[in-house]
Amino acid sequence: MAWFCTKCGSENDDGETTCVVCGSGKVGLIETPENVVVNDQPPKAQEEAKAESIAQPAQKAPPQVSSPPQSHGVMEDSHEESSFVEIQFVQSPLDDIIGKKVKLNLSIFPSVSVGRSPENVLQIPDPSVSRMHGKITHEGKEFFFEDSGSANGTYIFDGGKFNEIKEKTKIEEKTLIKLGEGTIVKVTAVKSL
Amino acid sequence: MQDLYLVLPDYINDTIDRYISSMGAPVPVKRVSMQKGIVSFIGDTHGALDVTAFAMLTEANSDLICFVGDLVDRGKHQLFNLLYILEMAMISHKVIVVRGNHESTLTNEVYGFIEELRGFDIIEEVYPHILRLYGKLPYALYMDSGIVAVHGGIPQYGIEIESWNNLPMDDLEPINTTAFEIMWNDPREFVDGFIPGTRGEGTFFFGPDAYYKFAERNKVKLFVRAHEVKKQGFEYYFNRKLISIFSSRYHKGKAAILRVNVEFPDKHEIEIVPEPPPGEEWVQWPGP
Repeated sequence: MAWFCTKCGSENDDGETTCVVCGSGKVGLIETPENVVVNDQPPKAQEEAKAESIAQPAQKAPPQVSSPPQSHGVMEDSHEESSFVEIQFVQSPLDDIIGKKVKLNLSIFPSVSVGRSPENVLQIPDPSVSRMHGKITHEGKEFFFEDSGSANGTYIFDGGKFNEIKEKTKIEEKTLIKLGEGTIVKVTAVKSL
Repeated sequence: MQDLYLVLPDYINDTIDRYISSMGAPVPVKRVSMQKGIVSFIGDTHGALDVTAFAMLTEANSDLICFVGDLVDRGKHQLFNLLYILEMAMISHKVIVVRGNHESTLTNEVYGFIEELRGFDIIEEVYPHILRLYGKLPYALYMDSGIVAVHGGIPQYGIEIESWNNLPMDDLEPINTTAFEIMWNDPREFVDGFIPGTRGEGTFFFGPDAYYKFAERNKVKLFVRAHEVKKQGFEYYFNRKLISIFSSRYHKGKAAILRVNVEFPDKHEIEIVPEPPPGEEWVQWPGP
């Protein structure tokens, strides 16, 4: 029997012990929800919250009473003046998130993590993306992307091809970043205070 | 499968060879002059013989039926799917097969067609004829009324469809980059121009600006392509001017068939092929 990933919703064959799309583990049927330790809010809600924060900037995301505010980097209130990087998914193995924009607040913490595992501020559902893939940092007036030793690398588009980055690389509006083999994101807006 | 059928290489080769000669002189772009009528498009079938048979039944009244590539690899009845389509093309005189990226030596080894032919123990005899067929299939269908069908998408260089007429035939991979991109590229809404794709070296994503430029230059009203698994069987791009259609069942999603009114390409309908009944393997034909 096929099972559906609790993280990204993808359908997986029974033989798979981890989700083929996002790499999350299978939650067994004998495990009751109480026994499953969830570190942050379910990613679906998180995704929705991200989407909402873009689609309806004036509306605050519903308060998450039960879970600690882990998603500190994802902006939920754009009234506040803050430094941010907004990215858009241009390509993803998960069709549903293509076109989605995520605004990352870099005022509180000048560094946000990007990767496949759920503890990242920006979670990327793609098996070719490493659990801890890289980070976006804010230094002075500029923003950078740094690869954290990912298995499949990070690449930046130079207008002709994607070049692998080995060290901290500046990103700005319209920069295209390829993560691993299957995800491409575009920087759609940046603001530095 | 090989226990159930007597697979005779001579008969198979005869079908393939007769189809090749029925096509006449091979052309990279198959032009069709049709001012009105209905044309049906079937996307990747990948050995879904039941979907193909269903489509031939439901689309029997169409004036033209176009299979937009990828007849083999992946699915259950790859060889029979190919042969059935070729025979139906010769019987009906209204089926056109456009070449897909799986009608290629690059993919058959990895995705199952070679394995299926080995299972029948006919690879030595039959595969050379199949390769000859691949080399003769057109890369595109171009209708006077402004409908274009290719397997993948538009190439980075070669914006004029006219220029595609100079693409080399009998190019089995193909090596020609324009032909390769026509069979491999994918549309993406949020891309500017062309960017390298995620399918590997030489593949690209093309964005709306690239598409609109192409459509304007060639007076294209509707662009039909296949190539990508769509859970719903189809997806619109670029203000519904481009339709991606998928008609296979190996991915357990939906298989779709597109029916277009040649006079008014905006007026088209999409038929979703019904799922097989529970416990059954085959898509069933519509009831009486």
